[in-house]
Amino acid sequence: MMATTTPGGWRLLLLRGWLPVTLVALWWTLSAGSEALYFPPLQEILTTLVDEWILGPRWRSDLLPSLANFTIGFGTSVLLGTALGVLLGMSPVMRALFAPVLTFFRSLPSPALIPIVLGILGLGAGMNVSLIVLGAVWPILLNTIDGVRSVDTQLREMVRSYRLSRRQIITHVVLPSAGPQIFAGYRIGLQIAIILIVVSEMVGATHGLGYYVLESQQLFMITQTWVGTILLGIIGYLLTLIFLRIERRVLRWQIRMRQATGAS
Amino acid sequence: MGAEHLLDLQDLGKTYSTGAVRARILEGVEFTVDRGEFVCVVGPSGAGKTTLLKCIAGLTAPTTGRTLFEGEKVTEPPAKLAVIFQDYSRSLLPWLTVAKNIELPLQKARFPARERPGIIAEALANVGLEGKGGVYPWEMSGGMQQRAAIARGLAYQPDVLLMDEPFAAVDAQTRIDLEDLVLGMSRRLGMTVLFVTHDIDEAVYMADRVVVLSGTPAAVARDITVDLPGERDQVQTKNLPRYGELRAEVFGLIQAAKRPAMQRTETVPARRMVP
Amino acid sequence: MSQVVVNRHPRGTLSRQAELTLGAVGLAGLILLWQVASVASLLSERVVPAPTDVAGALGRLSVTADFWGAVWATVSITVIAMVVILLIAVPTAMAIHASRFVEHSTWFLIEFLKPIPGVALIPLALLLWGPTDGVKLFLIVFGSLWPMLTQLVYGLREIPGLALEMARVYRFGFWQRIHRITIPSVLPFTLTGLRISVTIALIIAIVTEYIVGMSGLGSLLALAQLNGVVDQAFALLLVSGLLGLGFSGSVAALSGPLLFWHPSQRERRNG
Repeated sequence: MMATTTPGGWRLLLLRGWLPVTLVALWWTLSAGSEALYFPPLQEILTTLVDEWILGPRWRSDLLPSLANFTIGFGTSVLLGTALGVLLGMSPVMRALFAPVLTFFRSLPSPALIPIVLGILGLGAGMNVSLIVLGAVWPILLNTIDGVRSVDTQLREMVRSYRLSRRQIITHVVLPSAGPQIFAGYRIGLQIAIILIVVSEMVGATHGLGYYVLESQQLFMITQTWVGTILLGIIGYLLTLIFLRIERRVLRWQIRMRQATGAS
Repeated sequence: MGAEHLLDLQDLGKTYSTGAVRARILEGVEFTVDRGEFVCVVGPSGAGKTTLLKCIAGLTAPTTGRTLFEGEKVTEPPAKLAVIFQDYSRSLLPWLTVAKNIELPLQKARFPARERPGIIAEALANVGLEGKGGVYPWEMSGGMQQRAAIARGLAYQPDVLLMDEPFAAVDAQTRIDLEDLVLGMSRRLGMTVLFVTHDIDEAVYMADRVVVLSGTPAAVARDITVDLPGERDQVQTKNLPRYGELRAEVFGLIQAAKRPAMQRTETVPARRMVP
Repeated sequence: MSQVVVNRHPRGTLSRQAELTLGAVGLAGLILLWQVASVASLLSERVVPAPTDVAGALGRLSVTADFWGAVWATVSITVIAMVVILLIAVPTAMAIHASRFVEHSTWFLIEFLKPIPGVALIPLALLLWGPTDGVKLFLIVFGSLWPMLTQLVYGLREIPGLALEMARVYRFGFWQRIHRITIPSVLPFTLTGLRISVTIALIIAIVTEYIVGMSGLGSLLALAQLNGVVDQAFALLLVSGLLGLGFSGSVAALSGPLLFWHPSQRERRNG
């Protein structure tokens, strides 16, 4: 990223790795043989994690459905938010018509929707997915609108003078030009979606990772609560990592342009 | 074609209104451009040259009058007209390679898919960018980017090429190179070019005819036929006595137009302006 | 459609007046549609009550002390969390910016902690410390610290080099440099961070209240759900939205005077 003074290879690994490794090692040794009720040994936590979630049946019964709901919910938010965003971004009248409603929903803390969504859909995957969509779609929609609106004036004139078709305008001009901003919206949406999949499973499901942690806590299964928390952390991290990979791939032209021109 | 002129501007006027303030930019602009001509429109900065070009291209609707292109009134950008914009960095799409940038406007029936690679290669060759199709615009210098933008205009095979201060953003040496490139190209291909610039030297050097815009709102001050030898050369042409005379004439017209403009305010409350 | 894209000014040719009118029409139309659908029994009132019922519920809520106490609990904890976040994020960001060693050493830790959903910690935190206000604050801070920290680090990195060179040429003092260059350059990033952080803070506050049953809007929502009073749930949804609007509106209101020189604000005034 910073080409100037970033050390290469193993030195960077060492610089970045020493603190996390030390912390984990400290945790491991300090908690080894721990009798403290709330702080089981790290070794025990990890063994339980592997036994229950990797070797055991939980990855199929709880993890996969969670991930599937997340993927469907976030995917729907992305498609819906982008499509509606382009539509509203290109039409000042529609945009003005919906502006108050959009502003309201963007500011609404989405968990406030839980009682209503539960009331309409009951427990289950439908509720989980709907809550994610109702929470994550707004930042995506609004960022897309902004991105589409800020397409350069001269670009608009170029598009008109060469009489590009509507499809060409959307796929080759509007979407790429708004791309960085759209992806910024996806990033916020992703963060909210990860929060909401956990929340929705805590309050509106009978299985899934979120359900598992809260259930473990309520049943006073301390090791399991630690396991669930750590697993949620790892999964949140991995999902973000995958997203950033995709973003970097899609916005490749922009990253290369920045490197080539030194512009920010 | 039944039309007498390729481009025929009739009583073109443009007034912008923002709230209660009206700005009259153009008034009663009239001139024509014939097939194969190289016409430069020159005027001081802020004289409404870009507005004029937008009216001609159909990008902005004039308030009064009309433009006829091949005998038809222009309301939207016509298919056989291309515009080269001033700021190449904003008119080339940075997410597409040069070749893709050129190809984008070609994706319609009059350019069959199999002919497009040939058209693109030829356009690139015409601007001296052979083999640069796979490069991204931002990987090239400013001058090369403007050449790519010109290649896009050429590949579009327009009957007229409108150029809006195309060399304003490049350095002086590149500018000279590009002037000769465009001049040579237009001669070789028999292109009709309408070239807008604030640079008097550039206008006199390149044009068959110079249309001097002046005043606020701007109108045609004079339509000068440049009676210099057809073959232009940066040193020889510019050393001709006739070149100096033409240059002085244009310069005088623009200076004369500037003086009263300084006393007049550009924007006047709406009520006063309406006759 | 392509006509629509290009015939208009980048920010649309609609005047401010027209935009406001259309917005009011849109909102009124939606509420009217909702009312009509309710009256015509297209919406089951057990699931979606009519707007008039929601307004009634809101009226009944607004005269109870419980309601205002809950609003205050949610608002105050969110504001305190924002202050704590600033107190943590500013020195951390400065340390990361000042030292390559700190930057690299904390890189993985921050990259790992950042995407962890703050709500995931609720069960564990409850288990370890029980349902106290301190835990609530911790959960909110942990969950919404990262956007602020990221923006601050980013902002410090983006201070224009030319401005710093200018400061050296004219021999600015330390405070002059901080006051005239660092703070103004970082401010836009801080406000962006604040906007995202406050959104997430409010989400976590409400979830924590909802799940744990601590005083706040979240617990009122849980109560409304438990008792099956749908119109009250809708009224509380409205209140939560208005609260969110209040917070984002406050950040936006700060941007006006603080960032008057920034292109985004100049554009706004002119447009």
